[in-house]
Amino acid sequence: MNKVALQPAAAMPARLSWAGLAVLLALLVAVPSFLGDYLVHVLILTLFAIVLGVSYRLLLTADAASFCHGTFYGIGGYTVAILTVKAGFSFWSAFPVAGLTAGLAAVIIGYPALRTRGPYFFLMTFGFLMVMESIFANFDKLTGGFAGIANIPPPTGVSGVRAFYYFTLAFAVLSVALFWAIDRSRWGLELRALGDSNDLAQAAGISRFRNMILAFVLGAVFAGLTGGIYASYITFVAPQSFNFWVSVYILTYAVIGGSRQFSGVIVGAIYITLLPIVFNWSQNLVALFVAASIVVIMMLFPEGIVGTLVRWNRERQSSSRPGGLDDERPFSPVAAAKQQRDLSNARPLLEVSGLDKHFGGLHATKSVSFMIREGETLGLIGPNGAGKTTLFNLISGFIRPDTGTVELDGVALVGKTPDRIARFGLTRTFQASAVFDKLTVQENLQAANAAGRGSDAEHATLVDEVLELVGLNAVRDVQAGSLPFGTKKLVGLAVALATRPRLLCLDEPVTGLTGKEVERFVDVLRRLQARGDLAILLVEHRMPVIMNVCDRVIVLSFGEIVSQGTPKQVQADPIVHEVYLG
Amino acid sequence: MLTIQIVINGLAMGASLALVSIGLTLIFSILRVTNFAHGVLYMLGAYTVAYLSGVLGWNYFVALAAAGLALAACGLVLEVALFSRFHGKLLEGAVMAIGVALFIEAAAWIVFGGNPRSSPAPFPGVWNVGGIILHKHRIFVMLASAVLVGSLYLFVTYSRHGRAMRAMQQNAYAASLQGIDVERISILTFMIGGALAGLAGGLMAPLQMMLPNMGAAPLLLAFVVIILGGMGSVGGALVAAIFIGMVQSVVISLWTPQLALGVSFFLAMLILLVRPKGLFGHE
Repeated sequence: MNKVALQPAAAMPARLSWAGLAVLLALLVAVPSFLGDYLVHVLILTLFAIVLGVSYRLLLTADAASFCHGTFYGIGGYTVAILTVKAGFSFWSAFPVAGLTAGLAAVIIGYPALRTRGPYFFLMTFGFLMVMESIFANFDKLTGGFAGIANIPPPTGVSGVRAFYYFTLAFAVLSVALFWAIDRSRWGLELRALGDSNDLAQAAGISRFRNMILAFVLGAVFAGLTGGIYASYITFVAPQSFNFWVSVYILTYAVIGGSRQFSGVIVGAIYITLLPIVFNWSQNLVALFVAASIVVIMMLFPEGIVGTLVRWNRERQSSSRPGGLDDERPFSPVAAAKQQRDLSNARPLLEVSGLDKHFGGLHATKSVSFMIREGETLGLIGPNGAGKTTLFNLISGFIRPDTGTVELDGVALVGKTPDRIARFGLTRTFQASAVFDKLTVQENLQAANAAGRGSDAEHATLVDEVLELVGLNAVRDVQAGSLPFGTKKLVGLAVALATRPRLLCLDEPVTGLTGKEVERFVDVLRRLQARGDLAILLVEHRMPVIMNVCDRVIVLSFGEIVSQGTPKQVQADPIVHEVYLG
Repeated sequence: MLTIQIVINGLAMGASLALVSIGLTLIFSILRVTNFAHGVLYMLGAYTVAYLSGVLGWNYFVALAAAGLALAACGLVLEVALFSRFHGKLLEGAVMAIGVALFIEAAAWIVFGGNPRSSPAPFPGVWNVGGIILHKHRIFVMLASAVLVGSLYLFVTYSRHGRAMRAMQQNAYAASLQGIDVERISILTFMIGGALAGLAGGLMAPLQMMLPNMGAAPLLLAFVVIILGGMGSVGGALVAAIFIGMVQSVVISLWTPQLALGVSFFLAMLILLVRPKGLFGHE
């Protein structure tokens, strides 16, 4: 019923905005005929700012802020300047090269920089900006030094401000459409998932590095192309055309407008570019205005202009929000006592042998070896600090063992990244931070990338099946971050299932859940076992759950396997009692 | 002879750079704010000293101390009024700081004007030791920096508040659970950072022509220093600042002054390639 209530409300603004878009586009096409040259010039600069903004935002959706977008813009500008003025190229042959050189620069700096994280990426790109600024200013023979390069020819066929306006408008509309489409696409979803949680995204089979560098390079290409048009329009480039502050301004577009919404960066670009020129303020006054806007907007509307409008709108619309599960669903009769399954003939799926890991002086796992058969559920227990989570991280590729091998169906996993391991069919869940907070439940599952991931339609069917199986249909359109803890854990399980795993590794899935939620979880596990094709490795502290669902149990203590066997055997083993009671 | 001169010039540049960088790195590592406004604090320190000693005729050392106090107060106001909301938010915090920097600099152009100012030096003149030129004021700057960095090091290492700062560096949330008053330590950090930047500006005021954009160069170099020195390490920042001072000195003496900044950043990036956490940073 929640869905029914939401649908028309969501559809109306969508239709309105399409109409609005058409009107806006018509207006933009008609505008030069009733504006003076100066205002058309202002519009051209604004269009440049918009393309820079949307191309910068792409990597920002993965929550990585770079600081050198203005440098890529500059590289494009200098490429066109050098090729046309010094090498005699026409604009049209130099223009694509501007995008290419900027893209190449992004590869060179992005490759090392994206291997670092958070502040270091920001600082590396900042360093690149400073180095390039120095090169622009001092590589006299190529760049003309501080004097720059003048007399850059316009593109053949484009002469005068108005012609340039239409050329820039066409380029801007195409660019914005492209980045908008990316934002709506699966790739956009993967980037947003990465922005929410790097670890979870990788566990769900999403490659961090490949996605990030692609986003970085594509953004740089469009900044370079924009720079190429800019150079040809202004007919002059110099170091100060692309200095530090250009990159800073691009950054502020996103923050002032709101980086969560695609339109935010456009609003920010227009606000920062248009207002000062329209009022024709002196340079100091412009700086004062931009600075005051930044401070005031960030204090009053930390989510940016558009971000704040969206939040107000959402708060007005949804006063009550369902947070529960499909509780009417009857529990399956499978919940009765578990019969002993005979899996001794099943093929081995995961083989772990001699896994060793030291953290400084701590020996976290000591040559751990075990095996999981296809369709088997193996419990892994042990006191706190026994090395269970370390073992999980070793198997799923989040940390690398000192020695030892892990093989999934004959494929060696050591040294592979978590996302590749997930795509081979080994997926893990996390104790905490189990969901992509800012995506809806359905998007959480859609973002998951699987080994045999078929077409989008096939994946949509899988998503529906998993939502049904785990019982999350009622909350599928709810933002995952707003769900209660127990439901989040179920969503975490559902994300893992949406990767279509062959081996599912669950790290304390019912810890912190209420009795009723535990029952639901056990019920879901039972249904999965009944399908027979999924092996499960279960780390858990709640003994009844282990005893109830596991075919076999291994006990870990101080990084060593001290006991293994059926749940009953392990329960009776005196060593196990000693381990737990000290 | 030239070598010794280059080394001494490098040490002098490194000394004032260390003051700016240490404040920047403390603010970065403890509050997770990239403080682009650090350069304007330096500039305000220089103008404060120039006004108090040059215009009002105060004793230079009193003016210097006053500049340190004034910029500490400035840091307090910035933290309480603006930055406290942006701890840990890398992009938003950086943009906020840029807004503050832009605002103060633009205001300074309007208030102070575009004419370069200068400030009288308490120790004018030079010593000529066998052909090596020693600016007396530069020697004073080096000694003053050594004393300030030394006492800050002792404070951070041994005092209760210093320990709380280091605890916050590692994990602000866990620190708050240990009963550390995170708000107070944040304010203290910003005050120390502001005071150091102001003192550095005040120390350097007699050595250079002052313009409202004079803080840009030390700010950018300080970023190189914290990249090299690793986030939050006082010792790392000191060593890296002296290293960068040397690089500056070498490039300026033997190559061309305009390249000094670019070369410094280039070196920092090369080092980051090999050691992604900086020369002195660790996990």
